[in-house]
Amino acid sequence: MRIAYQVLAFLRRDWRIARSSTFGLAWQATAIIFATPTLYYIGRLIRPGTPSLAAYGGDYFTFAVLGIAFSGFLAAVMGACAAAVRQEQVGGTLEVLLTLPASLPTLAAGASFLPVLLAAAQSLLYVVLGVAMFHIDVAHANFFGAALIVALTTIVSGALGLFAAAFVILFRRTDPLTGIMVGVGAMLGGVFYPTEILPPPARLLAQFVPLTPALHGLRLAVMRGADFPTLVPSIGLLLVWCAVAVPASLVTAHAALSEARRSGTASGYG
Amino acid sequence: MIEIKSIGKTYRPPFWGLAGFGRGLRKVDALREVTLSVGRGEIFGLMGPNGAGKTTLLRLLATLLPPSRGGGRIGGADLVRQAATVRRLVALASGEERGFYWRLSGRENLEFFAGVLGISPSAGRRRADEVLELVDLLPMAHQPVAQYSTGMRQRLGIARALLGTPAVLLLDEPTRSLDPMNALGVQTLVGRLAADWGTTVVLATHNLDEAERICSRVAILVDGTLRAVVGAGGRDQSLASQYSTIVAVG
Repeated sequence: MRIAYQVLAFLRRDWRIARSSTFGLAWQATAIIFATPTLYYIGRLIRPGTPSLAAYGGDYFTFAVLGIAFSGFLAAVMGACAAAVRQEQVGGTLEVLLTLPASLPTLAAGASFLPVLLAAAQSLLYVVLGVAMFHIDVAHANFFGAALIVALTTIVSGALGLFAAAFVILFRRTDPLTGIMVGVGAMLGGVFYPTEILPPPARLLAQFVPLTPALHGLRLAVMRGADFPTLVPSIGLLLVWCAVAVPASLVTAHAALSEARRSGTASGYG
Repeated sequence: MIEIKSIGKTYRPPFWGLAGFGRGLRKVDALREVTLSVGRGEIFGLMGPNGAGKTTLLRLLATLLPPSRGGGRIGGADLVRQAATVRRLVALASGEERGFYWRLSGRENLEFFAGVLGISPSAGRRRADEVLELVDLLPMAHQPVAQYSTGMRQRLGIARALLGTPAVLLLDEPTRSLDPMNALGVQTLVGRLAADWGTTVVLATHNLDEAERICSRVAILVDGTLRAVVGAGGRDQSLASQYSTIVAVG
């Protein structure tokens, strides 16, 4: 119960702060409303028979909407914790939080909760607009498989976000890692185009980006309704990522915090 | 309640030492071999010139910093090995103006910190109002912290420290920015906390009158070293004369 109250406290605080800037929230929703038809009309330029899209059913609009919505959500998951740590550093509240009896995972989860919820709502808005107004076909989608892939990728992204937060704690600088990871993901992970069209060296590198199996599996599940055995390679790779990234990120974040406490820089921001 | 033995703190430059990161930082011995004990319900003062190590000692007791040497216990819990337990016993009011969410009201800030302490939302709201009343901020509870004066923020910091009913209250210059009436109010509150609730208070201050009025004993630190622990409240010699003698000998 204690942990639930702690996470709820962060959620209420962040909602109260976000509420004071409703314009920002409204603007983000408006941007999506304009972006979706743009993608639709770009999609109409690309012939359905394009071979590299065949594995996903050939529809570029659905392919791009899923890629953008999901990668945007994951970028928010990755960046949320580091951004929150930086805000607490600059506001002088990190020192206060470090004197309170809350664990590091609870602080990280609490501080990321609302930004991740809002990002999830935005991503959902993309897909809902696509389904309702531009006829994305989800009648045969494997929702359970898609949900499993989303959950695993969210865990991996959260772990990568902890590395970024560790950087902010140690170096007391704005997080550069999330931007790099999001950029690499967009280029190699298949957000806007299938990884099959990449040159062979880039295609090889793409295998080491968690977004690649995540988007591939998600698109197969949603666009083709792929069954569980078909999704196993993507799910297996994501499980490996979870097994490696989660403990490594927790150890790294703990080490960063210990080092910052030891050197007396945990609460500084300059 | 508090036992520390040969505790010391050396700030070392961070290990990464890359160009631009940690530049200008150098090794500093902030605290050297300090041993002292503070009883339950005692108001214990820390005095000394700027840079004497008062704030470092408070931060060590709050587990914000690990000691470089020596160690200590609060309520039987080890400062390093049982830091999580210590954090449930101790609250620090640092006296810094920063440390609040300025867009939120005083009450909303306290509700948040109560939640992080693990207090339910309804109990947190009640507790927030109780501690706001203790520091005379209840009428301004709904105002954004951005509109608070420096003194009001300082009192809000004390209110926050009281949220979890701590056994040990660490106060870093709690009356620094307060006018005489509010300063007196805080001193009276500290006295009541110790007398009525048995709260142990460690109070860093530059104010000799304040230390003499409310502290039972005062540790005098100079250059990170504990020079003396003297009784306050004036029996043979005033605190002011003892302090000036010890600091002058330096």
